Formats: sequence, C-alpha cells, structure tokens
Amino acid sequence: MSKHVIQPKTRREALKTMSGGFGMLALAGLLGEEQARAASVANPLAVRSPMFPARAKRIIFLFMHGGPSQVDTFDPKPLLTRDNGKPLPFAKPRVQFAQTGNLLASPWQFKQYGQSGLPVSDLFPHVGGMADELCVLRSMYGSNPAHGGALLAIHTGSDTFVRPSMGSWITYGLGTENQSLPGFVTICPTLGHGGVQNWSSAFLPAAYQGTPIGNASIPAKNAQVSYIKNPDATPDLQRMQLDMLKEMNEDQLRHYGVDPQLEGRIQSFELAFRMQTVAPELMDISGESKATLDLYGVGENPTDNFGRQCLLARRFSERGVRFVQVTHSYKWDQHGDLRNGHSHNALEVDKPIAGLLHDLKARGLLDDTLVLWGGEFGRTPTAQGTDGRDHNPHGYSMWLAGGGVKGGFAYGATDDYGYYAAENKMHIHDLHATMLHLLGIDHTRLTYRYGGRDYRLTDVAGEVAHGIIA
Amino acid sequence: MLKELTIASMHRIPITICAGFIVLLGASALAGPRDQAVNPGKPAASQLSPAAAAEQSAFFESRVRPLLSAQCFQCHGAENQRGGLRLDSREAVLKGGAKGEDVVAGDPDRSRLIAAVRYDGPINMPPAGKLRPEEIAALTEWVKIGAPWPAAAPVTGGAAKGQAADMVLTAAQRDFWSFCPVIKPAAPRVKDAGWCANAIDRFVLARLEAKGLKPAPPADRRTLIRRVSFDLTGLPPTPDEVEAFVNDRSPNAWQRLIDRLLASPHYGERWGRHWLDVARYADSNGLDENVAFANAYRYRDYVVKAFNEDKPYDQFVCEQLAGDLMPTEDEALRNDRLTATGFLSLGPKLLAEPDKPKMVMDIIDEQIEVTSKAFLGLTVTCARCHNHKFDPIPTKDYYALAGIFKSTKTMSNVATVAMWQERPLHSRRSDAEVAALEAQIRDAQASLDRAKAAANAAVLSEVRANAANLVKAGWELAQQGEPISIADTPARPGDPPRTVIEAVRFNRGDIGRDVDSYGKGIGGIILNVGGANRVEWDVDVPAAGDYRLEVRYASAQVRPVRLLLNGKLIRTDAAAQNTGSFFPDGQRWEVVGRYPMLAGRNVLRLEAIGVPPHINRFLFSPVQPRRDGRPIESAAQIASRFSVSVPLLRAAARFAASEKQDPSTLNPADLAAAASRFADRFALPDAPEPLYADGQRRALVRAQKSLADLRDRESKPPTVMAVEDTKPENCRVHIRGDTQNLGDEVPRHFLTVLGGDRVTIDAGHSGRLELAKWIARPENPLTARVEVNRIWQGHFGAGLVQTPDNWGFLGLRPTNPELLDWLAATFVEQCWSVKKLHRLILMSSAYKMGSQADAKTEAIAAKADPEDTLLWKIPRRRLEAEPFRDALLFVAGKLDLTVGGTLLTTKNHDYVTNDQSGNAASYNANRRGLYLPIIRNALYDMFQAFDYGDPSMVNAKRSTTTVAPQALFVMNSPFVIEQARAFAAALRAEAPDDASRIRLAYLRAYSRPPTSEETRRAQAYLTAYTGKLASTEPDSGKRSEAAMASLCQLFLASNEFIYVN
Repeated sequence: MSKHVIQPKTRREALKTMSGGFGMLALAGLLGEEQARAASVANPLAVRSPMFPARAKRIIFLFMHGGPSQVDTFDPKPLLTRDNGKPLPFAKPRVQFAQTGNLLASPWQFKQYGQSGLPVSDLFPHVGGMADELCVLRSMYGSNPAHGGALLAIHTGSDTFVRPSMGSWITYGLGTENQSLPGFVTICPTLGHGGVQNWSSAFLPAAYQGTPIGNASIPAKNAQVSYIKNPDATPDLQRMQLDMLKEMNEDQLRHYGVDPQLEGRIQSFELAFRMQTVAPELMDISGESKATLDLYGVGENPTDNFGRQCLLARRFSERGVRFVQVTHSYKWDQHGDLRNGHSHNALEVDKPIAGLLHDLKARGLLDDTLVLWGGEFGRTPTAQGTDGRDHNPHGYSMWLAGGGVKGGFAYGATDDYGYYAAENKMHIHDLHATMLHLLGIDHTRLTYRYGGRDYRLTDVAGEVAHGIIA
Repeated sequence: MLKELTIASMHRIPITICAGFIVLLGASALAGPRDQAVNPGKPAASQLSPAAAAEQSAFFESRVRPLLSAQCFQCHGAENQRGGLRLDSREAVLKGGAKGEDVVAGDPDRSRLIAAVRYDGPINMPPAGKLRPEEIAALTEWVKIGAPWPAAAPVTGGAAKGQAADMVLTAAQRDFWSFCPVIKPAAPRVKDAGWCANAIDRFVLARLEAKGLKPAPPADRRTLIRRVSFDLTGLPPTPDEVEAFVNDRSPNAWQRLIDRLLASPHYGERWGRHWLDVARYADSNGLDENVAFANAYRYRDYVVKAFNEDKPYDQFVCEQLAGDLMPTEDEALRNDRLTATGFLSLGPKLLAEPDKPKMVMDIIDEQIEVTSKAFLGLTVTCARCHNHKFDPIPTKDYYALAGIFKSTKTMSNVATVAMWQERPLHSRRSDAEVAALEAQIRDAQASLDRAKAAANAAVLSEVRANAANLVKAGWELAQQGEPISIADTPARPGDPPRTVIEAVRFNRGDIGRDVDSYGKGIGGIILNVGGANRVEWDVDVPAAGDYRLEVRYASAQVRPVRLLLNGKLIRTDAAAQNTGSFFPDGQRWEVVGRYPMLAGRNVLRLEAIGVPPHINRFLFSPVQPRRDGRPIESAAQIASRFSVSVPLLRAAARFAASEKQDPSTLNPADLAAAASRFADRFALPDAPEPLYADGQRRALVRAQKSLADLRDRESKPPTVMAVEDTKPENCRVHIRGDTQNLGDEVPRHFLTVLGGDRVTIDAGHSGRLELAKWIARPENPLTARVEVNRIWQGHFGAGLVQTPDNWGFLGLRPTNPELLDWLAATFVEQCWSVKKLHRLILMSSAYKMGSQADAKTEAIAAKADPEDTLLWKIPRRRLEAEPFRDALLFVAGKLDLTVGGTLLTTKNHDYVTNDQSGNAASYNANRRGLYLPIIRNALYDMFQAFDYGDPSMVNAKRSTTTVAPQALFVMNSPFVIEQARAFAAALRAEAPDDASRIRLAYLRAYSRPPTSEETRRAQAYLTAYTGKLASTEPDSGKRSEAAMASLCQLFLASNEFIYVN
C-alpha cells in the first residue's frame, strides 16, 4: 500500500499548474508530437479538414431497403411500354436471383417536372415537385443480386468481406462537428441482411461506428439511443456522482503522472453526461411548428413514421452530425404485387422526402448537405409472375440532391429496357468515390492500415463522376 | 503433376531474364502498346522480344481479357456460341462466326468486331449497352497490334494460358527477416547482471542499456498480483488472495502464485479467448444470413481445454487444420480432433450468394485467410486476384492452397440458404453435458411456467380492474354478434351452418402448399417463390345474407394479404398479426369481418403482398343484423372505444349476451354489480393464450420454443461443425479472382517462399494434413515466432512484433529480434509448451517492473523510446470487454464460474436476427463473458462498445478506444446498476459500518486498502448523497442503501478499476 501514494513529480506538478488543467492542447505541448497523436485517442471525433475544398459537409442517406424499381420511378423506358409482354431481346445475366419472364411495362406514367423537365413517375409526385434539386443516377450498377450481399455492398463497398461502412469511413475522414453527439447516426435501421455490419466500423476504431436510434421494428416515435437515461438517479444525483468520479479519477491521475488514456476516459464521462441532455432534446420534435410537421407528413397516415425519421435526420444534420441514415425497411421487395406494393411504399415516403428536401433548402442546409436516395439494387424490367419484378443489380437508379451536385439532371443511362447500365456507368465504388470527392476527400487517399494492409472504402476501384458536379 | 513442376522450374530462368529486360528496357516498356503497333498485323507474340511480349501480355491481361470475359464470353464462349462466334481464344477470334472473319489482325477498321462495339454497323455489341470509350479503344488497340493472345505464346513463363506472368521471388524477398530460419541467439552481456532473473531480462536490458535507459523499479506485490491474475485468468484476485501473497515471505512466493494461476481452469478461459480472437470465433454466421452456429461452442470449449491441458502448440495447430485426419484409438481425443476442425468452418459465409462458384471460392478464401494469418501471420489472400503486391506470394501459391481447401468438404450444400457441414461425435454426451442440458431444460420449463403464470395473473387482474368497461364493450359487441370468432366454439344444434374452406384446396391461381414443415399435419399455403401468389376459392353458402369471415393462420412476422370477395376488395391488411410462430403452434383464428354474400357460389380471392403468412383455413358463418339497428363496428373499434383488449372483449361479449340491459344505461351500483358478476364468473379458458397481451404472448412463444429446441437437442446426437476430405482436385488460377476466367491448373502445394512448393502431396489426399504438418514443423520460421509474439503481447500489452497479424513487408519489424528468436527457439525446445513459456516470461524481472520509471529514465525515454517499445516500464492496460464485465460481476459477488457449455438459445441454423427482430441471444447470464453468445452483425452492445472488435475477422490485437457509449453503459445500464447494488449489498452484509465497508470495497475493487483521505472522502459522499435523498426518500435505510450503491457504482466506473498497472 505504501507504494501506492507517490510523491509529486515534476510532470505532475507541471500538469497541476497548467491553467487548462487537463486540456489536450497543453498535453500536446508537454508530450511532443508523437504522444499527442497517441493522446488524440481522447477525441477521435475531432473535426478534421477535408483534403481539398468540399462541396458537401454532411450526408443524409435515405435507404429504401428491398430495392425500388428504376423503370417505375426515375428511369422512364418508352420501349419497355411499347414491347410489354415480349421477350427481352438480349441475354439476361449469368447470375440471377430468380427466373423472370417477358418485359413488363411500368404501370405508372411519367411526368416532367420543374424547369428542368426531369421525368418522375406518378409514384413520387411530391419528390417530383423537387425535381430541380435532383441529380438522378440512372446508370448505377453492382453485382450481387441477393439482399444481404447487396446491402453490404452499398453500405460497406464489399459484398464479400467484412469492411467498415461508408458512414464510418466518412466520420473517420472528417470527424464530426458536434462533440455532444455521435458523428454517425442511423435511424431505425434494419437488423437483417447484414444488420449491424451495415453501420459497423469493422476494423476502424469503435468511435466511428454508427449509433443506431431504435431499429426497423420500433416506431420512430419510440426510438432512442441505448443507455441514454439512467433508470433511477435524477440528473443532479448523477451529477454529484460524476463529480465524485472525476475527483477519484483525477486523484489517481495525479499519482501516475501524465497518461492520455486515463485523461481521455475522464473526458468521455463528461461527453456522455452532455449527450444525455442533448440527444433526448434532439429527439423531441414537439417544438417543431405545425407547418414543419405537415411538410414531413408527421401526424398523418401513412407518412407519420417515415416523416419523423426524415425530420430527425434534418435535426441531427442541423446540429452537425456528419452522416445520418434513414431506413425505410424492407418494404420495396415486390416480387409480386408490384402495383400495390410500390404504390403503398411510395405513399409512405414521397411526402416526407420532399418535405426534407424542401426544409433543408429553406434552412440553407441543402447547399452543403448531400442527400442520397435509393435501394440496394433495382428491379428487373422483366416480369416475375404477372405483377412483380425480380432483383436487378445490373442497372438501376439512385439520386443525389444538394451538396454540390447538378440539380434537375439525369446522369448516365440504362439500355432501352432498363436492365443494364449502359452509358456513364456508375458502379457502387464510383458512387462512393464521388460522394467522398464532394466531401473534399480523395477516395484513394482515405486509407486505414489494418493487418498490414491499407484499406479503402472503394477497395482498388472507384472513379469520381465529375459529370454530376455542379 | 510432375510434368507441370518441371515446366515451372524450367521457366524460372527465362522469366528472370525477362524481368531484367523489362527493367533495362523500361522506357519502351512504359511507352504503352500504342508505340508497339508500328508493325500492324504482326501476328504472334513469339516473334517479339521477351520484354515486348511480356508487355503485350500485361496489356492483354489487364485491358482486353477481362473485358472479353465480362462482356462477351457469356454468349460467345465455351458454353454458348451465338452466331457461331467464339471469342475465348485467338484461333476462334480469327476464325470468326457464321458470317466468317470477325477480326482482321492489325486492321481494326476492317474488323466486324470493332464495328460492332463502336455501334456503327448492322450489329451492335454488346447488346445491353455500348462499352465505355476507353474499353472500345482497348479492343481497337488490341486488334491493331495483331490481336495477340498470350496463351498462344508461352514466353511469359509458366503462365501457359494467358494469366499474369509468373512471379519470380528475388533473393531479397526470400531473405526477408521473418522468412529466415530461427537461430537461437546467446543471451547478451549486460552491465547490471544483478537485475536479470533469466535470459529474457538480458535481452531486454541489453537494448535498454544501449539507449541509456534503466528498467522501472519493480511493482509492489498488490500491483503484481492484480496484474498477473488478470493476465492469466482474466479475473481480479480476492482480498484474501492478495493478503496471502503480500504476506508470503517465502522466496518462491511468486512462483507459487504463477503455478496456482496456471493450474486454474480459468487460465484456459482467458488464454483460450485470446486464441478465439485469432480464430474469428462466433456463434452465428453473420454476413447476409445470420443463422445460429449452435454447435460452435464445442470448438470454443475445445480451445479452452487445449490451453488448460497445455496441449503442445504444434499439435494444436495440426488438430485445427486436420484433426479429422489424425487417427487415434482414444475416443475423447478423436472427438476433440474432429471438433478442432471447426476452426475451418467457423467463418462468415454469404449463405444466400446466388453465384455458386463464387460462394465456393469465397469460403475457400476465408479459410486461406484464417489459416495463413493465424498460423503464419501472412496476408496470403491478397494473392487471390494478383500476385501479392508486397510479399513474395504468387497467385499460384494462393490457388495451390485453394486446391487443398477445394478438396476439403466444408459445406453440406451450397443451395440458398446454404448449410455448413456438421459431423456427429463418436460418443454420447459427457455426464456433465447431459447434466447441463437437463438443467437448461429445467430452467426453460421453469421460465415457461413463470411466463404462463404471469400472463394468467395479468389477464385476471386486467379483467378485475377493467370489468365495468369490459361489460359495456361486451354488450356492444354482443349486440352485433359478428366480430366474435366462433371458430373455436363448437357448433350447437340449431346453429346456422358454417362453411369451412381448407386453404390448400384452392380452385384457381398459384401459391405454394405445405404439409411438411410450416403446415405440418394441418396443411397451409405458403409463398411460391417466383409465382404469382394469387389464388381463388369457390365458396358455396346456402342462403344470401351477411356472413362472418374468419381466417386461421400462423406468422412470426407482419405479413398482410389482400382479400377480395366476389371481386370486391374487402381487406388490404388481412391476417396481418404476428402470431408468434410460422408453424402450426402459431396458428390462430382471426375475424376478417362481416360481408354480404350471395346464395350459391361466391369467390374469395387472396393476393399476397410480399410474402404471405401461412394460412390454414377460412370459415364463413351467417350473422344476424344488429339488434338495435345501429351501424356495425369492428371488434377492434369497440375495443379501442372502451380501452379494452380485443380477446377480453370477446369473452365479455359472451357474458353480456346473457345480460338483460345495456350496462351503459345502468346506475353505478348496478354497473358495479354487473362488473363483479362478470369478473367472478370469468375463468381462464383451457387455452388462454389469445387473451394474453402481445408482449406476454410473444414471451410465452419464445419460452415454448426454447424448451422445444432444447428437447430437440437432447434427442439428437451431438454434432460439431467439422470438415472432411473429399475428392482431391487441383484448382485452376482464377484470373483476377474471376470464377469465369480460369487459367492454369496449379498442383496443390504450400508457400513457395518457405519452400512449400517442393513438397509432394499424395494424389489421393487433399493435402490438409501435409499442410498442417508443414506449418507445425519446427523449421517453419514463422509458426513459433508468430505464437510466442502473441503470448508476449498477452503479458506486455504489445508484441515484439507490433503487427501480430502481419509478418510480411508491411508489418512492423521486431523491436527485439534476438529476444523474439530466443523465445521462439526455446518454445520449440520445450516441446511447444505454452505454459512453460508463460512461466519463463512471468519469472523475468522485466514482467515484474512497475508502470512508472524513474524520472531520469522517463526524461531520456521521452526522446529515445516514447512508445516504450524497448520495455523500460510496464504499460498500463485497460481491461478488455470480457475481463471488465467479469470483474464487475466478480466484485459484486455474482459471477458464476461454471466452465464450458452454451448459452445460445437459438436452434442450430435458425435466424438469430432478421429485419425486424434483434438478437435472440440473452446476455443477462452471470456467466463469464467468454460464454456469452457471440452474434455476428449484432454483437452484444457492451462488447461492441468496449472494443471487442469484429468476430468475423482474424484479430490478434484488439484496439483500445475511449468513447462516450462506454461511459453511458457504465453510468446507465441496468447491468452495471445491478452489479453496483449487489456489490453494496455484499459490503453491508460483510462489514458492520461505513468505514469498514469502504475499506472492503477498496480491497475488492482495487486490491488495496484506502488511504485515510479516501475513506474520509467516501464517507462524505455517502453523507451528502443520503442528504440529497432526504426530501424524496422517507426511509433512512433505503437512503443509505441507495448511497452505498451509488458509491459502489463509482468504484466500478473508475479508472483504477478498469486499468491494470
């Protein structure tokens, strides 16, 4: 025991006399570069500058789990309508999820919207109203035609290996602006088809993993961050407890001298305490105006749930969260009952999405917020049964809005029937590379060394689609 | 095979020359194919200089072949030859299709192929869309330079069929430090020989002295016993153990302590867990289809046992790779060896991958990854698509190894969803296992009984509390009769006739039928994958009128269907409840509604929206119009109007049907009387489940299912995830990793750089056993080094090589290479005994240093070795997730120290997560963290927060991050709060007053007594806390309990608890 209480040492005294007490800057000065870098474990989420001027500061990903059909939403195909019921005039892919039959015309009409005249189907009239903000990527393609693999591909860039998700990479690259909140939040994510893997940091440090708010089985209005509230102690009792903890920890730190790890842990409790106040406030939308709630369709059916998710996305983005994902979980998989299924799904999300775009724009946030919409793949232009479409990763649409992309613009094209990406083909890696580029990051230089290899979100591929940048 | 080897070795020399030429002729080689094309029509690469040929080959392989493979081979390849055209060899290309020559070598403008890809002729190819401009340019260029096809010109060496040039291993690569043999160095001379307890210390000290550093003063005994207890068992010492060691003045006190800890069964749990990180152990598949590996735990228990028994490491290696091929008469050992091969099966697999050849190769890739990283510390899988960029690992080595695993059966099928192979153990369960299983069954039965009792009590108390509303609502429903299900009520004489429709007997349409699994014994309709999933039934009723339609179905998810009656849409959300199970035990009747029907034939039509529930029957029964003539409401509407549950409403309606007067019109006293009549008369039916609230019903179904699963497990022989040899075959190189683009066949062998290409594998074997022996041979320069490094890391926080998973060029170099080699050589000399190695390390003075050096050394070290790689002090370490959790339970007196077994309640191959439901595993057990289910994709949140890492990947070194979710867990999780309370209760029980309780808390949590200042502070805290509670908590006993629990939580949350010096 006698050895535990150690006489003050020079370093300890230096620490004690520093005005900042336990500030990281002071530490950096004291320890020199090397250890300061090690000490930055204390705040892996500190804001980092982009590599070059960024067009977007943050991302909102509106994920349509199940795979919406491109030819029924954002990629009109007159020949598909003309040749309804005829066989596809070229070969289907070697690997298909299920067998499909002949061509199936879209049951929906397309209208031209806005000044740009960008065509959007009748499934998305509200989103159509924001057409001049949309940059539709009509030539998306990947390779995996099963949900699990395709979800992993869009979220992590790999359908073969366990890799960090794009939200983790982005938070790793840029840190986050609000130190009282996580940098990467995913609202009501699916637990299937890769589940946590889709927002996991894999081998990146744990600080970069997505923080789930609820999951797909929890209504958005009940979703919360885990352990954000103490079931028993009142805030002032808890504050008292934390003050005591701080005292004990600092006492111990004084015995040991400088140790960035110990200090980082002391700070983490303070951050957690702040989060306890900030996160529930943020989740509470009761202060939003009636007009705003109406804009998102909150309080009415069937838009309430997704409307809340979109509204939360805005609130998180507004407060500096780097990457927010909103999931419309596993509804878009219409192997059959396409007409009803897609109609119902679109009804749930159309108004909230348009509301989000509108609201972001009105608040001046759309300029530097990049919104991504889409599923893990599209659907076949050929019919499954009489009223269904199979999975199709070979050519499908996603869209971007805000954050430096051209609005009212369609990029790339599929073939005449909408089966394969054909012009300006955009692989998932290309999408990731382009998103990073808009954030001011060179995707080939955002690397992390793990197990002796430098890893990237885009693996060894990815080309920036400069054609979509405004 | 022999012939192949000869060819390969013959080519070794020319290739070397070839590589030299490339360097010499660098300028022209870099200039690109364009400059080569000065002589259009140059037909064959054989006339080129080796350098030019190599370069043409590179161009072809990188730009042309992948393009042809991806875009053309499907229709113009080995399987199909549309238009008679084949594009997978030069001869075929030049020969052309039905219309004759398609490529004129050297003249793109006269080549139909080029016109087709330019989309400027009668034929446009590929049909699905024009190629990218750079792709068209590459094809044009290729035709221009004479359409060379390197397969026809084997100047690139062993690469016969046009794959990338063979990789030539240079002398420098072969001499890379980690590939050099281990040679045991002599321990160096040091100045301060008195400090050295054994050779390890001389190696450490020599490096320190060279930099002018001094080892830190030794740690005190309290620090040492806490350190070594966590190191060897992952548990803190008890206060008694601490006092005994502190007071043990015998010279061999330390050695006895080490021996005691090494003999503890908890040693194997701790060190087995380190290995399980390397073996990417998990209890579920993860990736796309997250199904349970219910037998994986047997591998985990095997690992723990191997460490406890001090199984020689070379044997441990062999058993995991080829235990099934190591015959023995000893039954227990035979079982262990079979179980050990689970190592190869435990990886995450894309079980629904539709591309089957890719699935097979992905599984093999994962096996190569885990084998090469775990045993050799090498990243061999980089060579799947190309020669390794940094290490001397050619693609051919990769496919040589792939052949070994291809000749090994891992999967029992690769259908969707694929199933890994399990093999039965040779014996029955051990007595301990039987006892454990029986205990689990008893527990499951008890929790089922508890769940039932709780649900019944809830129903009865709900009835009592809400009786007045129930009778009012019941009256309403009784008035209209129809929404009450009559399906479970036997028909009485005189009742109107009922019409029952068996769902499987539909008259038209197309949907799946099932009588074996989901509809076992009763029949039901299920999804027909790819079908229309719309069906119609003809329903004949005797008379026109209003009919009640009911449906009986089972579903563990929300799966609404659309129903149409006589062409009119009646429901878009019928049968939409989660009944708790997809199987007959989940079948439930539900009223769809009340609808007018015609006399004679009516048509009921069902349209699936997505996947339908499993429907067994429909029931039609006539209903009367409402007696008071008011409009009809659904049961749900009535239930919601009166705030009662629908099933209870139905019970109340049966009661109210015999009442005389509308209860809503009664005066309060009469209403109360009616209510209590109802409550008194109410009895739980034989099958009360429908009355339960949803949550309780689900809990019940879960409890029933776990019991059934356990019984099922009990009735079957134990199996393990295990591999076996299958028909031996070599693998062909997959060019750029593409399963559709195959190159040379490669004979099975091991890594060339380690001499593994010189072995011969008997044609009748997979080569797995040979591989195992080759890895585990004493001369292998990596095997012992890699393992001793991990053991060193386990004791000192960092390895001598700080990248324990990468010993290649990109890995870090050893901080003390002589020590590393001395340890590796000694390890092998001591017959690969891990426990002997621990003893050696723990007996050193180096291990016993403190975590603070003297001021002078710190000042020098801040410049000379700030990261303490030379070990001038012991780094302070944070407990990993499991020891932290174990320690929380341990100091709270709650840790259950049972060894082995499984806590996973999910049945083998059942889903542990899906879209809607989280993790079915329970983490509430008070067992050691080692035994909590490791669910990939949905890891226990506490583990996830505390850097457990990803259980899908080989990981010999966990990271240590400090993030707010860890703090939130410690501050707010019910788990920590519960341990704090238990800790406080234990202190109160064991010590009479606050001062002695505080002292005991320090001893238990920190292995040291408090200072007087600390005692005073803690007492002040208790006083202040109780004071704050005074206004809200009148009971002074409860106030001090709460204060003590709060103080105890502080101990658990503090840095001193989670860090080890």
